[in-house]
This record gives sequence, structure tokens and C-alpha cells, in this order.
Amino acid sequence: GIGYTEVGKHRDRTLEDLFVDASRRAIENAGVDSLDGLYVGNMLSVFSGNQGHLAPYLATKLGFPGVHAVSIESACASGGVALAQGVMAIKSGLLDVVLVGGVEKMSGMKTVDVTWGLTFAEDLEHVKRTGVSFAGLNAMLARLYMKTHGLRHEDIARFSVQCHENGLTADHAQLKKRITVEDALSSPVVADPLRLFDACPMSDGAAAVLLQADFDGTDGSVETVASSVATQTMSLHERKDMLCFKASQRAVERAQAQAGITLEEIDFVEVHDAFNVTGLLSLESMGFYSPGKSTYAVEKGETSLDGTLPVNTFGGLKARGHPVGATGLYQACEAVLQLRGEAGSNQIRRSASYGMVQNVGGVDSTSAVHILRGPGT
Amino acid sequence: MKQVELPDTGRLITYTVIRYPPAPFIGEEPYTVGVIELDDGTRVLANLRGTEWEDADREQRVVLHGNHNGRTVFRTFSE
Repeated sequence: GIGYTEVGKHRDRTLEDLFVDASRRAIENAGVDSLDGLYVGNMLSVFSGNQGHLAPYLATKLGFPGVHAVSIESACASGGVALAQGVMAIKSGLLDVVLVGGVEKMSGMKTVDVTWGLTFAEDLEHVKRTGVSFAGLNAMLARLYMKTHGLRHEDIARFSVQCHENGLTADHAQLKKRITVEDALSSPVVADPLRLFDACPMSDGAAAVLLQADFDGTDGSVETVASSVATQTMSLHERKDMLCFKASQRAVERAQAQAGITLEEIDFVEVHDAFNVTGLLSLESMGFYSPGKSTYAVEKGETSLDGTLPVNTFGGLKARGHPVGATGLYQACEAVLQLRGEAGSNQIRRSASYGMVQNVGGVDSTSAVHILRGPGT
Repeated sequence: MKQVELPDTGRLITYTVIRYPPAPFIGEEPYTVGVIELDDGTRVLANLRGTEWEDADREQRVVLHGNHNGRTVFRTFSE
């Protein structure tokens, strides 16, 4: 089962409100009436709302105060890592009916607090010594990427434009408006060379999936055929190859081995575009395109809904939004919609048998990759 | 662990200008942060002097300008 709220600024809703809403939808969608496990992904509730210990808190709010319940924090990968924990509980035989939900409420925070909170994804020693911000790290990455491959800002901006195209028809997306490359290039500078439209918005939202052990294969269920969480050297500047998202590369290799399939068999992919450049670097490090070549694929339309490898089919982090701890679960819900043929105007044109979702924490310090298989595949 | 002395020169790999600082640095913006590869191969994340840095096709050499309030600052090294 899947369930999610609209992504946006829900100023009048609380974190638990959002979580219970998404969770109840997932439970109803699955047609179950009880759970034996709950995994919660969230990054900043302790900082933004002074609320920790989300596992029993949300289990209680949801009406299941006795279950096996765990909270997960892995920065922006909290949702994907929570999903991996839920999958592991099912596959190991520990639990039979597991709800995995991610939630984030950022609209109550001042921008300066969000900026500070996001740096918690990094080694604080380097933040304190230099004043670098999370956007700043991604900006340095973008500058190096463009310089290394002779790319211009237009080339990476096209990724944001494409995400917005898909967001136009995505009911739950935060940003449903078209943008042009010119809009992107003239938007305010965040951290040079990255501008506002290179970056995802600040978002509130919750998304959940209901996992069950008794997989039938004939009842229209989507199966998780691979689940992998990998890491790499925490600090960007200490990496041998700063442009390699090695955590994502490792996670994809391990996931492929688990599922026994090749990348060519992946019909669509949801990548982590906290910034357009991270979406592009993800595609390359994961092995879909050679270094420097993903921008050409976007330009040629290969990554659009009717292309050979649809990417971010509901707008990705840029247009659907990025409620930090929930994003990994939004990606999973969107993949399920594609595989069930329930994506409406956002349905990819080629048939969907296998989908891959990639959720990253920090600048690819953590990467949680899952491969989902559609019913009847 | 042993202490080693690092060279004070290197090449600038990438940089950015911070305009929206993390909390402890509010009020100091704008300032520059860069990744420098020192001449012995060590990589450091440090501040760069000033905010007028530009992209260049050629290698940008930098030299240690000083240590101020725990911040390590590099400047352009024009040979």
C-alpha cells in the first residue's frame, strides 16, 4: 500500500498530522487493519520542533502504540534508509506487516535555521572552521563538474526545467509551474554558481508504504527486489574523485547483484536532485551515463516521460519537493504508481517493469537504492 | 598519530561564495570557501581571501595568507 500528502508549505498542519494522514492512506490502500512494525524517517524534528523519539510518538498517534517501532535519521536519506530497514525486517522474517513512513515539517523554521540545520548532514568540524553551508558544498561540486566537462550553466539548468515539466501534471507536487532555462539562469544566486532554480524548495510532507511478507505475485503487488544502503567518505574535499558519487555507485552495484538484473532493464529512475547537479552526477555515478554525458541525454529528451530512461517522473526533489526525511518514501510511492500503471498523465510511455529509486544523505555520504518490480513481471 | 608540516602552497580545485551562512557565521557574509590541493597532495577545505574569485582555464595557484580566529585563509599566489 502507498499513501502520501501533497508536498508544500503546510503551515497549519503539525508533523504528526502529516504523518498520520499519509500512513492511514497507505494502510487503507493495502487493505490491512493492523501492523506489527513501524519505521519512521525524519531529519530535523529534534531541531525544528524539539520533538525526538518519533517511533513511539507516531506509533501512538497512529493508533498502534505496541508495535516494533524505530526512528531513523540519515540526513536527506532518512526516508530511503528507513525503507531499507523495513524491507530487511520483512525479508528476514522478523515482521509481517510493516509501515515505513517519512515526514518533515520545515515551514515553521526560519531560513537561517534551515540553513544551519542542513549543515548537520556534514562534518561539523569543517563547517565551524570555514563557515561552509550545505548549498556551498553543492555549489563547489557544480563549479568543478562544469569546469571538468566544459559544461555551461544552461546544461545543468535543463534538468530543473525537465523536472518542472513533469511536476505540471503531478497532483501531489509542490511546484506545478513551467520554468525556462532563462528563468533558471536569472534566478537569485544562492551560492555561486548555484541559483534558486538549481535548488529544490523547502517543503513539508509525509509519505508511507505498507510492506507485507506474504507476497503473492498475482494480486497486483509491487515487490522490492533489491535494497542497498551504502556510504562514502563523509567530507567532499577528502574524496579522491570529488565528482564520483561513490555511495550511490556502490549501492547500485549491490542492488543489481541482489536483483540479478542489469541497468538496461531499469525502465525509470527517481534520483536525488536536491540540486540539479546532484541529480546529474547521480545518473552518471550510478552508471546510466558516462561522466559529463548526462546533460546531453536530458537535452536530447532521453530522460523525459517518453524517453528511453525517464527520470524523476513526478518532478523529483525540484518540482515535487523535498520534505527532507520523507523524500525517500515519496520516491518509492511514485515508483509504485508507475509500476501499477496508476501514474495518470505522468505514466511513462514505455512499459514499466523495473524502477529504481535513489535517496541520498549529505553530498552522497549515504545512498539508499531500491529496485522495485511491477506485478506480473 | 604524528604531526607533519604541510606545505603552504597548492592549487585551487573549486570554490564558492557563501551568502547564506550557517548560524555561527551570520553577519560575516559574503565570504569565500574553497577546496585546495596542497603541493604534497593533501586536500583542505579553507577560506579564500576576498570574494572576487573568478573561474579560470589555467590552474589557480594559492598560498597560505594566514590563520585568523581559527580560520585558515589562502590567497592568490601570483608567480
